[in-house]
Amino acid sequence: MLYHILKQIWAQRKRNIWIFAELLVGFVLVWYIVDYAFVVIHNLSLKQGYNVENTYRINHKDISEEEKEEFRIFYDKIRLFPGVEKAFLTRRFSGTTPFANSSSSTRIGRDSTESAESFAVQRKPVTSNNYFEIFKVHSILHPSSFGKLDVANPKSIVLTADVARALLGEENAIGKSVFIDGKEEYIVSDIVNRQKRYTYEKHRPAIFYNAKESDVLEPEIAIRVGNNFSLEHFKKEITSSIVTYKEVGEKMDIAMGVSNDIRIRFGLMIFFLLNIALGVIGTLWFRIASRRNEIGVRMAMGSDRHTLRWQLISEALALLTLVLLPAICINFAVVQADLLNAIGDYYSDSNEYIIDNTWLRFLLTNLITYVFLAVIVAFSAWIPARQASKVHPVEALRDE
Amino acid sequence: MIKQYFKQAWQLLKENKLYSSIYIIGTAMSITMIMLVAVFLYLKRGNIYPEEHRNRMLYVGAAEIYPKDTTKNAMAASNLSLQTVKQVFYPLQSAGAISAKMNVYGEENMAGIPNSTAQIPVTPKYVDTNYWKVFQFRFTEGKPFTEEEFSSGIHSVVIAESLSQQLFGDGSAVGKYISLNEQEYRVTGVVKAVSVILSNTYADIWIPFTTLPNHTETFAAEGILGPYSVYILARSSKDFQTIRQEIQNNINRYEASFTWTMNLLGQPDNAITHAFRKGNMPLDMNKIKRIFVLLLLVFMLVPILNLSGLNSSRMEKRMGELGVRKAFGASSTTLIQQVFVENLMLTVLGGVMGLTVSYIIIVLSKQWLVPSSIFFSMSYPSAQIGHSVGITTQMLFNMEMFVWVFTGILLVNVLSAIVPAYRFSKREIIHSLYDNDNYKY
Repeated sequence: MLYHILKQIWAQRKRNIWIFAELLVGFVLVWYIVDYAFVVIHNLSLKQGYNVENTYRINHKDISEEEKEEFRIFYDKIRLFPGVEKAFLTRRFSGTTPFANSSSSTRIGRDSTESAESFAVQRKPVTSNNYFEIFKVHSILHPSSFGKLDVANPKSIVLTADVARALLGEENAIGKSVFIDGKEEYIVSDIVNRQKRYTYEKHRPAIFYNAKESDVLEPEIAIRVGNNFSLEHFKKEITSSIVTYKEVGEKMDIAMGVSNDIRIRFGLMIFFLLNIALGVIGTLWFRIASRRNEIGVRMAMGSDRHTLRWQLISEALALLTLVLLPAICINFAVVQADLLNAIGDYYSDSNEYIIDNTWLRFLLTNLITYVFLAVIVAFSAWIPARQASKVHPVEALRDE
Repeated sequence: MIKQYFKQAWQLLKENKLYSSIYIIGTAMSITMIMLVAVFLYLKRGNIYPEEHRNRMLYVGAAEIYPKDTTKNAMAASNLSLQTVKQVFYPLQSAGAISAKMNVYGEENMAGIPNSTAQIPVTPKYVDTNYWKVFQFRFTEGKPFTEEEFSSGIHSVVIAESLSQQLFGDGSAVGKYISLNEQEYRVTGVVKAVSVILSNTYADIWIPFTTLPNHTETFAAEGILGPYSVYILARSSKDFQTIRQEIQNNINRYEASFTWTMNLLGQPDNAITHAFRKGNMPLDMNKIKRIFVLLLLVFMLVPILNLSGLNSSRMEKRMGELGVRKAFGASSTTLIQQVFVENLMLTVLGGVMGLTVSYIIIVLSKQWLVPSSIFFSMSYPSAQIGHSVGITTQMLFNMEMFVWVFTGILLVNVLSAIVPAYRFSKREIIHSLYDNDNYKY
């Protein structure tokens, strides 16, 4: 059977050359997008590490030393507003709250010597443990409770799980000392779930340490609200400068160009797939039209419609399979040339995710592309094949 | 003769419905693709209200500075300071008009009628008086704030018609007061709203930057860097070179006494380069052009292979017919012409369909086309973009666009039809006549 199909393809090589070329180019392009989608879906499936449901961000204009008292009153009004369960005050550009536009980073190690091994981490100054409760940042050791800094100790620090593992391995981290920038000593008070900065990214290691509310001159207030919170009333009575953190996240995705990137690739994918489908339908149609005699003979000799249909579909699939080898070679060259750029693909010094394992990812994405295209090709071949197998053998034989 | 071709082509089209529809849809998809790219580029560089002279515009957004002493390793990059604008750009003699805009980031801007709790999110722009000369805003009432108001930092503003309607309904807004972030401003003029896709001119409210206390602020060494972008309107695009030279002369004079030197990173940019520049990074426009052309070719390769495959299958079927015609004396040129006309007809049909589809996609995709810099300056993007002007018909129906489509159609047609036709026309007559499916297997 297989031999027969290959023979058919060879006999029709002149006609097949176009569809072969189209499938080849199509395979490479579709694979490129599949790889992108693979990374995006993979990253989206990672847990965010915090929960922004029912949380709002309130921005306040910068305050001077003299305005601090006035701001205090404003902040208290928010805290006491009906439905506000918890409030948290932070500096607007500190990068502490979810989807923050700005961030600052530092290095953390186990030693105070400069030569010691250290890791890049994002720093998130926290003015109270309300942060962990508002965004439901769970402690690893006590999964039912939230992260906790030792507020009484200015040298207390909370690590995300990835930092803890990189620094301390399987050891019990609580109470151990770590060094920021190779000099300042901190004592680990808790370990929390790892966090993503944006929705389409991998987790980024982060540390949390004590900061003073009174130092905040560029205030951002985060609140978690209950069912009895009325946004209408809040806007009327306190301030209209309030957005949900969910909106903040969506805005960041758009502003970073991620949303557009995804849409454009999705659009291109549809474009390529439609073209491939049209190409397969068209080419097979002509082939079948010119092979009606042969089809008639086959049917007259007892080939049933089912077998006939399968014969044509298998031919199309065999063609796709022939494309596989050269396509993979081209894809390999693409990887070697470092042309893959999926979003959120950076920070890949870790090897813990599938997407960091270049060759496993390569294998999987090629496999997905193949299966995906096989479905499209089989479906496209099925349309003319069905038409052909419907023809009465006598008619087909007398075609000329 | 040509008429004969068309008749024949029409007949063929009707006869072979499946082939025709596949061909037309295939072409439509390629044209849609070309159109989307064309519209994208047009929106970046075409003359669109109120940027009606983009072909004469030059843009300077940022500079990089480093110490003249090359043994010191330091660098800073940002927008320009007001001092730099005043020393280097405002004095330009060779340009028609020069305007500066102050970039203010990270604020949430709420506007309303003073002392009312109903506040709506707005996008402000902080500009000078020349801004109204460089860009061609249409005032539906009132006029821009005056030079005197500007230099003394008086709270006079121009607002967009859309904001005027939201705040004052159909009544006149000129002379009335509005509040922005708890400060009061007097409205001096109302302009026709600007599309949200134009990052240099889109705003709801235009404010003299002198009203901001920090407008003279500078960053880094020698006060070269600050928060300003500069727009230059040349009298003619032929003056670009002179203007560039004059800017460089001014810079040389300006930094003569400094210990740091400034580099404009290849700016001033023309409209298209400006559209691709990101922040204060150097930019290789040739590389971008190459990538663009390459991508377009790769994307077009799939539909062209597709159509060529179809064409070649069909030509094979018609070998007999073409062979007979050739035997009776038709030249290769005649045959190629015929195939060309046949395909042109299908391609034009596909082109019309593709054009329609691309218009639909563009009109639906207002948000895609909004430059990300605008998103950063909005507090509530979805609501704000929802309210704003997106794509206007003026942007879509213009000569430039149709030239693009026609070129696209010809490109698709030539590449996918002529090549197989040429190959077949070169075959021996006897071969064509003999080329019958019955003898093939």
